Amino acid sequence: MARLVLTNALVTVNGVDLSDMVASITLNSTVDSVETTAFSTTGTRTRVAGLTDNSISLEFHQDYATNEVEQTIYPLIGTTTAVTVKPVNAATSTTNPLYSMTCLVAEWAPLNAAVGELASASVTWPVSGAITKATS
Amino acid sequence: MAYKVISGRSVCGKKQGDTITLKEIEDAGASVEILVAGGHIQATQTTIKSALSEGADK
Repeated sequence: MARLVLTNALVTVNGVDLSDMVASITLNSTVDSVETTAFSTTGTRTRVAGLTDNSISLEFHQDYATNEVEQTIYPLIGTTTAVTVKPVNAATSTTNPLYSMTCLVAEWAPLNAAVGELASASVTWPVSGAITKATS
Repeated sequence: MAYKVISGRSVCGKKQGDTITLKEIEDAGASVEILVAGGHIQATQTTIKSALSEGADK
């Protein structure tokens, strides 16, 4: 299996393809570690998996024009919305899985840049429920 | 209910000018209201011609 350099990933928010305005994607999935240590002869801690917590971090380039980033995301603040990501904007397959999730748009930065910098918005949205991974 | 994609961006896999159904939008988990408000889609116009007016034409 070849290593992959992300150049043409797919990102949709509320069904809208914003791929060409996203510079970074991180899909996070962590599982709580619940300790079950009890008296035993092993002298070690034991654990089982607890709740899974998923989130997605995205870095958007800001654009206020019609149909662009601000107009697409601003109305979603405080709501849950569908988000999908895929390593390559091509057919879904075992080597190019599609990850689908429902995210709470818990944060947004309509204006964020210092003088001379590109206006952008880096967000981390918690996922409500599970992430679905499709391979076909 | 059907909608026309008016956005320059792909919406639920549909391109500008394509028609998309409410079911396709809901299956994608997207919000129709916000897509309409954002200028991405608009409801297609449907003309309802009543039987009475059809008869009057004849």
